[in-house]
Amino acid sequence: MPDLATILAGFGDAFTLLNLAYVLFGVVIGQFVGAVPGIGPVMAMAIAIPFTFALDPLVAISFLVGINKGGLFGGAIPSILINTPGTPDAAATALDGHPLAASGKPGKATRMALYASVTGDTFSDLVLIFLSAPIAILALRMGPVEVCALMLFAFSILAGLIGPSLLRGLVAAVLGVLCATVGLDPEHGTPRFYFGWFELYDGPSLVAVAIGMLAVAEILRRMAAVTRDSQPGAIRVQGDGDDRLSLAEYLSCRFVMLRGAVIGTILGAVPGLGSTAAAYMSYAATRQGDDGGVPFGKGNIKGIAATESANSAVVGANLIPLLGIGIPGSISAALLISAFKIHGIQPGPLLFENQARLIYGLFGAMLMANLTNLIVGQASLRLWVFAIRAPTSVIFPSALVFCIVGVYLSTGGMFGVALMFIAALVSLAMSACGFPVIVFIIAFFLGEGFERSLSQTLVILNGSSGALLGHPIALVLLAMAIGLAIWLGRGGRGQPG
Amino acid sequence: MMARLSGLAVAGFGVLLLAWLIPVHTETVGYGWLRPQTLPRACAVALLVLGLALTIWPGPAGEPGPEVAPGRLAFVVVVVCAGIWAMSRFGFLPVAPVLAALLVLICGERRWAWIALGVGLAPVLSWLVVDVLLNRSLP
Repeated sequence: MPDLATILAGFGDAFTLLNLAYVLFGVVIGQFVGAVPGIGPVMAMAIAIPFTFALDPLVAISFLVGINKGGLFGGAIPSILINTPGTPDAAATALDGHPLAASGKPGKATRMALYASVTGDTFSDLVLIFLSAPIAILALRMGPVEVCALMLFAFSILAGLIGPSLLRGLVAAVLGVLCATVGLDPEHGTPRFYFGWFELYDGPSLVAVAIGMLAVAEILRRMAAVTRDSQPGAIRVQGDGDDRLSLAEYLSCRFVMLRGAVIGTILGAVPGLGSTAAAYMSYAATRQGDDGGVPFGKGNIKGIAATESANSAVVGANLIPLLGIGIPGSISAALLISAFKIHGIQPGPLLFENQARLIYGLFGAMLMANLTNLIVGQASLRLWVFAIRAPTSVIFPSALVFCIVGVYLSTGGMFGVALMFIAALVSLAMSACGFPVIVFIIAFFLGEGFERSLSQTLVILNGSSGALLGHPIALVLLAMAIGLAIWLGRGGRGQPG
Repeated sequence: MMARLSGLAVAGFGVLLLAWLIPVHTETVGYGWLRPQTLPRACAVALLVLGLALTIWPGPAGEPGPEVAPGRLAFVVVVVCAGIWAMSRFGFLPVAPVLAALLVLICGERRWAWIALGVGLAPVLSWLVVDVLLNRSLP
């Protein structure tokens, strides 16, 4: 456990003017891209990662965290004002948000979304701050055998919970691990699948693959679908009279927000369960306890509080498995891994030993991003109405050019750009066939570590499966992975994340 | 039908890996527990088995994404591919505005002001940030 001086120094690093400026910049970008339907914070983060190369690691990661947090609230704005979610996470917010806005209270609806989002987010950040270090300490006591079993367990959760079926999830996970075997093998150092391209000796670039599969594929898909902007007219936010949100109204939702935050935090800490599932689960729980006021689905303010507190609480909790055990809980956490790696930092429990100051700096930046999110959201609600109407015919081509430049900068040549384009085509093909791209990417990110721990495991066990009996934690994890796969394979699935 | 075909394609890829890609593109090493071919082979076998299972039990296909015209998508892919090739040959600054203009037009934009913004925004911003601010070279 890091000492108090390191923790305080980390928080001190976060609260600098430069860091604040980048967090603010990130939150503004995040809210903007969240408000434009079809872009979203994941695409924005993917594009922004290579441009952070020149920044200090803490500043770079704070900037990305700002984009992510801003984007989650930004997605609620078009949900409420035009009944079109800016991000999938905000789909549930439209259920009560749009009817409330249509009834002449768009300011009340958007402010409730903002306050609930910040409340839920802050709650999960605090849980992250207090839980991740103890989890990392436990993780550090695990050997390669346990780590290998843990990764298999994570693969089974991800494959089972994301995407239309367990089989498709498993195919995506296997393809991701296979893609990670490109390059030098960890035990003998011989090259594999490099087809004469020496650039592949280190394996395919994480950034090129992530940007290609997440951003470029989506841009190509949208450009092939887009003809002309046809966004419906947005409701204008006045924010006066009955359109204001009173303190009493906010406080009346405190238990709803707390429940949403708890649901979001629990679901966020489990790899694979996304914020969309958390929002719907929180909404369903709140709806069950209907107190007889405004009916749900007709503009009940508690419906907005429930969904926004839950989907935002997922953000902080997603980092618990990433920082605690080195397994990303979501695609944005996976993108943060590539940001860490660009700056030469290996995510996982060792971070608390080797980079404790950076991690507590990140925690400080997360709290600062919440406050910034609140202030920017409050000040610029009227402005984002214009963002909703921004022409996608200009945004998507520009985003593609930024992707090309970003990957060129990150990989240092056009080979990376070509790789990004191939990854985009693979992503399009996988999506068309129903294979979850997110599982592929997370498995690809984890693949190298998985092969290394598998190699160490086989050496420790000396090839004897009976030696596994000396590793009860690994046995339990393997049993859980198999049990989970069987349960999920038989249809015991909730809502996909 | 599509689901079954995708299962067959996955199984076929598994066979291709086992029959050609792994033997030709990995080194054969005679010692150690985890040889260079071990994990790729395990993945190939898993793909073969999972692909066949998908062919037999295709299961749900998942939620459809945004509606895409395949011909239009192919055209966009060809334009972007040509743009990337041209960029590697002639450089970023002459090619990026042309590529951006083409893509803006493909997206259906016909308003001059927006076209001009689309053509200039990303190339100029990229040049400012990368060349001027970061002092690094563009493609």
